Parts: sequence; C-alpha cells; structure tokens
Amino acid sequence: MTPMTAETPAIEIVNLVRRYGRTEAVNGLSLRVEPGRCYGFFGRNGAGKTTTIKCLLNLLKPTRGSVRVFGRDPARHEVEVKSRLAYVPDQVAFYPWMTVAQTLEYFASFRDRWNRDTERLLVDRFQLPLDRRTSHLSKGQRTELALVTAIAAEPDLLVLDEPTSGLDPIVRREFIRTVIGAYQEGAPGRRTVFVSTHLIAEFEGLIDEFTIIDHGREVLTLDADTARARYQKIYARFASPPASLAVEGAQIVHRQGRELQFLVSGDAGAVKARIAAHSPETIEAEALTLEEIFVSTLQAPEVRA
Amino acid sequence: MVFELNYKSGKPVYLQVVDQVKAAVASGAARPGDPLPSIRPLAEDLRVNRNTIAKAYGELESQGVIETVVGKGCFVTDQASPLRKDARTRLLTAEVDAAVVQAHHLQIARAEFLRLAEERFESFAKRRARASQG
Amino acid sequence: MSAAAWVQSRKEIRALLPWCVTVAGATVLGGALVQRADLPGARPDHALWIALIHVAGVLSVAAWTVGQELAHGTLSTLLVQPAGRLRLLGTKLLVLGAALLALGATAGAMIPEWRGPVASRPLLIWGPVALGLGLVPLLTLLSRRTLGGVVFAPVLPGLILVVADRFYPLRDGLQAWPIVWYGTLVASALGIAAFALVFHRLQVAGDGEGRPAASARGAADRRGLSGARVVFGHWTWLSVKKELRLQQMTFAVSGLYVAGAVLVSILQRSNPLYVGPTFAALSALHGLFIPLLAGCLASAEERQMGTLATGLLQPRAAWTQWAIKVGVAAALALTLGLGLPALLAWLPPIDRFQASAEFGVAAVLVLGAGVYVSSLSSNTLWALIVSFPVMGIAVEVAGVSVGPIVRILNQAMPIVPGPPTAGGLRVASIRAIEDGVAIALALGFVMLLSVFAGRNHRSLDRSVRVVANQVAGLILYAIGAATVSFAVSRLLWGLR
Repeated sequence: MTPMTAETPAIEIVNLVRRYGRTEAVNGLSLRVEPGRCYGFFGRNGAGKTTTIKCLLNLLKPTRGSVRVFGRDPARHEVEVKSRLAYVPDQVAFYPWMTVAQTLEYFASFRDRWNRDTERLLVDRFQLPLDRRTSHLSKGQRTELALVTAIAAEPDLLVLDEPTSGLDPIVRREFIRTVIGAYQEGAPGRRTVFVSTHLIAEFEGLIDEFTIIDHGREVLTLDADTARARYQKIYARFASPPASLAVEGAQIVHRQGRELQFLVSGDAGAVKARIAAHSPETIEAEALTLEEIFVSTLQAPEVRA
Repeated sequence: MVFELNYKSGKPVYLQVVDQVKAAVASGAARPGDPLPSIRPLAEDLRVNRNTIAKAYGELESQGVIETVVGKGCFVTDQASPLRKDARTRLLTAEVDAAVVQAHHLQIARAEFLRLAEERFESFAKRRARASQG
Repeated sequence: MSAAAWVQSRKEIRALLPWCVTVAGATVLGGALVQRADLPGARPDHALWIALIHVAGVLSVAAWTVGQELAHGTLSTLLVQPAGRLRLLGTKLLVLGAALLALGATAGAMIPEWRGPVASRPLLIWGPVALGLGLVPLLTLLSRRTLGGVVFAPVLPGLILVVADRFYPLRDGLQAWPIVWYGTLVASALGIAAFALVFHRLQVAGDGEGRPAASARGAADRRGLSGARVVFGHWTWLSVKKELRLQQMTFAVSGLYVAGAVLVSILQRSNPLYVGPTFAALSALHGLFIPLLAGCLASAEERQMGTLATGLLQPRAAWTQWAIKVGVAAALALTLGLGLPALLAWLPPIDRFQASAEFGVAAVLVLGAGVYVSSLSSNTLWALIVSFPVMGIAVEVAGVSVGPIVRILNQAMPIVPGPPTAGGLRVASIRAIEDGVAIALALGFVMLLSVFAGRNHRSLDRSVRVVANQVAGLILYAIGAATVSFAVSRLLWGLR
C-alpha cells in the first residue's frame, strides 16, 4: 500500500486504456496531478476526457493501466477515495421533488466533513431559493447548487467536467470566482482542482498545468506559464516581400504582402533572432493563449497566403 | 491599484503581478504604508489561481517591496533597502539587457536609447511629484 | 440507524410512497367492490382486476426503486457519493421490502379467500412481493429501462409453471403450484444476490439512463440534418424505422411469447393430458398486452429519452408525425398480437386461437387507452401502470352506465318485440350490420382518443382543465355511440 505522504500525487494515471467494444476511448493516457495544483484537462469532443474522469470515479473500470487517487485505487478503496473528492458533472441531475434545502441535506448525509457555514455563505451568494424544487431551477442555478454541494464537503480534490457549458456569462464568472475563493481558501496547498473544459479562455488564469488529450492519448502536458512562453506568434514586416523564408523552428502561418506571421513552439528567442537576421522592418512577438495553443496543437495550421 | 493581466505577453502570470506592483510603487501610485489587496479577493477579481497571487506576493516580499503584517495584511515597504541593493541591481540588469536587444532590433542607436531613458526617468519623477502633491 | 442512513432512507421512502399509496388505494377500492358482490354493478371479473392491480402495482413499485434513478438520470450521481455500494443497495432494498410487505398485507386483507389449488393464494399475494424484491430491480438495472423489470419478471413464474407441469401435471391439482411458489422464492433469493453483485460492479458510461448519451443524440441529429434530401417518401420511411426502434420492448415481449408458445406446444405434444397454460390463453394475454405496451411506449418513451422536442421541431406537420407514430403502433399491435398467433397455428398440435373481430376491437381499444395515457405520462412505467386502473374505471363506467342509458332510451322509443332467436339470412345480416356499426363506433372512439393524445403529445401544457375537457368529450362520444348503436338496432329489428 502506498503511504499517504506529502508527495502523493492527487491523481496519477499510468497508461490508461479503456475500450468500448472495438473502439478505444482512452488509449494509453498518463498524467500526474500534484496536490494543491489546478490542472486543466483539454481535448476535443470525444477525445476521451469524460471516460478518463469516470475511471477516476469508479464509474468505469479501466481495461488496462492504472488509476490512483491520493495513492489509492478507486475500484478497491472506493469509499476512501470518494470521501476525499467531489464531482460536478456536466449534466447535473437532482431528484426533482427535492427542494434546494432537502438536496443539500441529502448530499450532506453522505459526508463526514460538511461545512455548514460555507454552505450558507454560498447559498446566499448564489441567491438559491431554499424552498424551491430542483425541477424548477434554471440550469445555472442547478450548476451552482451542484457546486455548493461539492465545496461544502471540503474535499481535497475537486473534479469538474465541463462545469460552465451552457451557462450565462455572469454565472460562469461567479462559478470560477467561487472555485478560487471558497474552495481554495480552505487549505491552500491542499486543495486540488481537476477541470475538463472547452471554455479554456475562461479558466486560463486558474490553470497551473494542463494536459491536452486527443484520440485517447495525451498530446501535450505543460505548465501554463511555460506553455505561454514557449508558444509564440511572431509578426515580421519586411521592406520588400520576401520570396521564400524558411526559418528553423517556426512555421509560416500567414503571409500578406510584406507581412509574415510565424508560429513558434520552442525557443522563441532563438527563432526571433533568426528572423531578425533577415532584417525585417518590425518584429513583434506575442504569446499564444492556452486556447490558441490548444487549437494549434490539435489542428495543423493552414498557411493562408 | 488596478491590475491588468495579459496572457499574450508570454510572461508568467505571477511575474506580471510582481511587475505591476513594482511599477505602481515606482510611479508613486502606491506609497510606503499603502495596503495591498488581500490574496483571496485579488485572485477572485483577476480570476487567477490563488497560488499564483500567493507566489507573487511571496516574491515581492522576498524582494523587499512589500511586507506582511500578521492579522492586518500586506503593505508597501519603504523603498530604500540597502541590504538588498545588489539583488535589485541584478534584476534591473536583466531588464536593461532586454531593452538593449530590443533597441537593436528596432534599429535605435545608443545615443537615442540613452536620451530616451533620461526622458522616461523625468516623466516618472514628475508623476511621483504630482502624486505626492495631490 | 445513523442520521446519514436515515436521510437516505427517507429519500427512498419519499420516492416510493406515492406509488405505494396509489396501488394500496386501488387494491382497497377493488377489494371493497369485490366484497360487496351484491352491488348491481359488481361482476365476477372484479376479482381478476384486483389480482391484476395487485400484481402490476407491486411489480411497478419494485421497478421504481431502480427506475427512479434511471428516469431522473441520477444513477451516476448516486454512485459518486462516498458510500459503499452495498450500503446504497441495502438502503434501497430495505425500504422496498417494507413497502412491498405492506402492499402484500393490504392485498391479503382485501382479496377474499377462494377455494383453489394449494399454494395458489400465497403465490398470487406474496409471489409478486418476492419477484419485486428479487428479480424486478435486477432486470430493471440490467435492461436500463424503467419497464424492463416489470415486463420481464413475470416470465419466471410462468416458465416454472410450464416446466413444473411437465413433471407434475396440473390436472393432479396439487403439485405444480407449490413448485411455482417455492421456485419463485428461490429465484427471488438468487435474484437479490445477483442484484447485489451487479450493482457492486456496475459501470455507468452515460448518465446512467436508458437514453443515448448526449453526443450520440447530437450525432443522430446532425446526420438527419446534413443528408437532408427532402423527399417525402424517404423521410416517412426513416420515421417509421425510428418508431419501430422505439418499440423495441414490444418486440422483446413478442419474442418471449413465441418462445413460450413453442415451449407450450412441445409440452402439449409430449404430454397429451397436459392441463397447463394453453396456447389460446397465452395468445389472448399476449394479444391484449402487446397493444397496451405499444400504446404506452408511443409517446412516453420519446419523452423519457428527451428526443420529443427535437422531433417536434422538424419541418413536418406534427399531425403527420403523430399519424405515423400511432399507425406504426397499431400495425405492430395487430401484426404481433393477432397475426403472430395465426402464424404460429401452423405449428402442430397447438389448439387454435380464433382471433375474432371482437378481440380485434378490444385490442384496438386497449391500444387507444395506452396511447392516451402515454401522452400524459413522463415515463413509460407510469404510463403502463396508470393504464390498468384507467381501463378498469372505463370498463366499470361503461358497465354501470349502459343499463340506465338503455332504460332511458327504451322509454324514449316505442318498445318493439325483441329480436327473435330463430336464425335465417335476414337475422344474420342484421347481426352483421349491428356488429359493423359497433366496430365502426369503437374505431371512432379510438380515433378520438388518438386525436386527444396527439394534442397532449405536442404540447407541454398539462393542465387539469385540458384533460377534464378531453375526458368529458370522450364520455359524450361514448354516450352518443351507445345511443346510435341502440337506435340502429331498434331500427333494424323494427324494420323487420
């Protein structure tokens, strides 16, 4: 049994394979989330994100490979693992006859740790009507309720699967603020967030580290700051349209008259120097946001002439 | 103090916060003894990981720009801190190097570069004077 | 009991209570009717209704234990909670056990004693309770459909009966029924163990419900939109195919029927003195259950799957879609319910099942009732269960009202000598016309039911006023139809 030391990763996935019939939804994924980090899990629709998360929660059993949450196997130590995490799914489902208050009471009954103050605070902040049935709540309110039940349980790991899809901008902002505020506040350094989302731009500031998954395999795993430093767009304008310009380590993605746009993934400084060697009039570099990194990693950039 | 984060700058987020605090201090917008926003509200406002802000504040504190008073929060310190001068000089050297390289790319000659530096110092000094008067 | 277990048990109780109370109430009502056999409206088949209500009610309450998680999509949410799976299971089964025992006790008090084969009374009253605890939750979970448990669980006692009769023929009267009773108990005990195993190792890919995952649904929509060659015939065929797909359960039940019929025919062939369930009985049951099932699935299955709105937004007249839906259900009901037995009659030595016109009309009426109830229900299990009391009430009302109506009409129209019993071509043709008129009126009733159901299917409005108006309309039609039929009869006989 792995001892639960301070270095036990919150999530450790090694060569996860999960098959449905003959298709492999997840095909050899490995990643590692250290405790206290905010980890982003990005991928196209059908890339295997939800399948991976379900393997973490023991809703699906891996075909091969191992999944460990805080060093424990979710299949064999189910209750122990689940008492340390909370899950907000993308399709939030409650029993329609229960009121908000009853739903909170119901979910609280499963937990040893439940912070009534946090619950009250968040219910006030989201202005959730305590005596309204969940079937009469809007989609945003249902997601907020799901978030309250997750955070009030004071878990060490918060797993979010497409949490803000379909919500209005105000609810989305409140959601992220609450994750940063109420959730991370409790025990900074021990509160881990694992979020799978398409709305990468919104979670940009929250993410410490991320993995991009495609066709069931990881394509890129990087620290967010490192990624932004490494992936850059370089704009260069020349005095006269350059005939052909091949620069090592960069791809030309846009060419218009005298202006060229390069995409760099790697040593942006060196590439910039190489471009500068061709004496452009101006040269500017701009980092890619995480969403742009996502797009450029998964989609070969077309050269637009 | 107003923070603006630019994810396109390629600079680590926590460094952007550090730099913006230092810029505010340098221009006089934040004076010694001024309180800084607490970590949690600032993180919520900027929608940034709490640890990032904590790291930024930690860095600022180790550079002597701010200090934490237990129970009260973080405050701007007195700027002059002779014990850490060499560290500060080292940091500035890196920035100056970057500016020099950029000047070369933009084909701005040394004399013009130095004239520009003088002009910028003047401008900051004027702004600080105005801030302390008003 | 710890506070946590109490909260979770309370939720189970709250989920099952409305169903439990409804079934208990219906049983008490039926029982009161049966015991007052001297009432003018009481008839012997009341006893059959109570038995039916009890069996169907107990099985449906049992199905709702797992069915509620499927219908609300909360299965994965439940499994993600930090509670052992066996504990979750135990809570559900304990509450279910208490509910079913209560229902069994109610039925035991209400259903009068009868002189029948040994063990037939415990089988009728407590057999469904055992099945409900042991097999229904398991089958519901395995089939991922709310109807799965209810429809497939009764197969087991039937199977045991048929097989037991091979060795202990029913004509001896004594041996087969206890075997069925004990066999059901044993099967239920095994079922509970199997349920625990399945639940413990359950994997939930979608949101746990029987509906397709959201992405699959989206893909189907996209396919429909992109290849849109707007040829009317093409679309109709696709629509029919979709309706057939939605009626999967009907096909499954028919499949079971065919298997049962083959089994019965083999037994009858090997044992000429076989006195078990006959092919005719099986076919009659099947012939009436299939239309009911097809009707119940028509509207409620789509509403449960969540594809209703998408379907209604297609650029086709809603009535066209509805006509196709009801048409397919009706065709299926008649083909499978009436055609299949006729086909199977080719099998040797099966006793004939004569599908009379009256049976056909009954089947269509049952279909209409199923379709109407389904259009007001949000899940198929509810539709099926509510259909039984609705049909019972309708039969009751018809039985009670026909007498007074005939009396009234007799007073309005001059009394003519009643129809002679002697035969003759004249009489035969008059009877044929009478039958024809009755059939036409019955079909008209079913059309009206379908129209009302179509309106309910399309709109999200579930106001009591609308339903009350529809029911009033149906009653008025029934009265009018009875009047017309009476008038035609009087006219024809009077002419003669």
